[in-house]
Amino acid sequence: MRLRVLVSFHYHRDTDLDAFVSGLGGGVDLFADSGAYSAWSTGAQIDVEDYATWLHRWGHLIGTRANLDVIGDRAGTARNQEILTGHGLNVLPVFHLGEPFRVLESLCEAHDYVALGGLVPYLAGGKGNSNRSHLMAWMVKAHLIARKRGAVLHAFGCTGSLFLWNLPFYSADSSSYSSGTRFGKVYLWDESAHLMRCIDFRTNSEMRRHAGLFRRHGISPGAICDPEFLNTSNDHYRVDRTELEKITLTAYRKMEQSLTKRHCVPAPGDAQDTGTKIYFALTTASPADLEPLRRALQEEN
Amino acid sequence: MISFLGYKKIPLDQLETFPGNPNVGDVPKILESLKSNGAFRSLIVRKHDDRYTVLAGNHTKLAMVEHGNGKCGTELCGLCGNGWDSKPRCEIYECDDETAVKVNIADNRIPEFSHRDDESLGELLMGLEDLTGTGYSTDDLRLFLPQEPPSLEELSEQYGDVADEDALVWPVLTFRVSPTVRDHFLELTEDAEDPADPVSRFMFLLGKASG
Repeated sequence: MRLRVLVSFHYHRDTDLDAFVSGLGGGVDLFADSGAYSAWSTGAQIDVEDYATWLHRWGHLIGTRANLDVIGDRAGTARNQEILTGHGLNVLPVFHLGEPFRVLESLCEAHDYVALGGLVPYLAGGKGNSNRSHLMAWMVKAHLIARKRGAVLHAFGCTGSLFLWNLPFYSADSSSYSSGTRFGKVYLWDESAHLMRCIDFRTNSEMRRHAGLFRRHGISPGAICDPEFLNTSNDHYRVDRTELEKITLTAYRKMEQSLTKRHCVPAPGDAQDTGTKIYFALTTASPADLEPLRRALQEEN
Repeated sequence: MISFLGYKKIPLDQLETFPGNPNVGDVPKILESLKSNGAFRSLIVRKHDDRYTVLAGNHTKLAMVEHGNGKCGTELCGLCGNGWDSKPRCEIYECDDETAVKVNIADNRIPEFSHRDDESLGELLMGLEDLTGTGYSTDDLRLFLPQEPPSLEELSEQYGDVADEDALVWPVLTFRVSPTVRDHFLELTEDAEDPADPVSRFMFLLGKASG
């Protein structure tokens, strides 16, 4: 199974992607996107020509590339698609939540692989989020439109089990694997329940209940229950953080295996591998960020 | 370490259950298995001072006691239909007190490290004509049947159709604040139209901010 990573121009315009990929042992399935939403939410601008140059520069590494979408400006998004195509870049078009479905219809008629974007602000809150069933209805409709035209879909920033377990997405991405260190949570893939469990590792009863899951993810639950684990004032904080992120990465890898077995989505065009593929969205490429990826790969092999 | 002394059939009333056994087994389920399959495993028993204490198989022993002497009335019972004399077959060992405790704990603990391959289990269960004695019921079997993803049409029926005008979903704002900030927020918004509703308080604050 290949390691799949999503890199955004917004975060990685200065990253040496050759070194990044070779640092992970090569053979990385790289998905490149503009990071337009992140840029927009921080007030930054992305120039389409700069993005095109970046995509060309790392073209030998990139397997899938997405359009530079303009938040709230459908015409601007379409213009960027034309510009990038004019540069010889076969970019994935992006359809946003809130746009008329006829836009998706025309995208799916012209492309066999389309991304769904603009989902992230509506996904917070887990099961308590009343948007979930509405989002599900929206995604179902998107899939009906895509299927009718022989296209498959990518979900930007969305790896929720409800959506991915039920719908045949070809691919999806998420940066959730790194959230454990921020919120005291760890994600574990529960194959029997078909869901990604979010476990509070500071609560012993939770840890005991899911002890078997921890072991199946290659870690002793007792080690994580230690109050000294992930204590910022300890010397081994960095090591603990890596361990925690590695577990969640392993969980997403297991989730991908289950999803691929369940949906078996054929690869569109010149894309590689059967879906559903899960990409890890990396916001930085520091040695500390790459270490969990390396470790997860090592243990898998 | 324990030393194997041999096999022996020991009357149930001479077998002591392990004191403080932390495992809580399901005696009726074990009895069902005994009746269906027979006693397919020896009890692991420690001999000390002419006493016999069960190290592993305590709930099997209790299920045998529950079964009782003689015939139970179950047709083709794996226990009483198979020469049951109330003397289970035991593997007899000799060991010290500490090892006895370790064996008892390990016998229950080690299986916790394994996990079930649902797919393989489903295939095995589906190959059986009768699930009695496996610990699974026909209701359980449904959990292991291979399940196809729902069709898009089924999902559409379940979640409803979405028209363009309904496609706008309201964003969710989630953030943590300190207790002081929370108290300040509540204080500033106590005159909101519906103070019980955080959204009403937030809109009140926005109204204040925009003058």
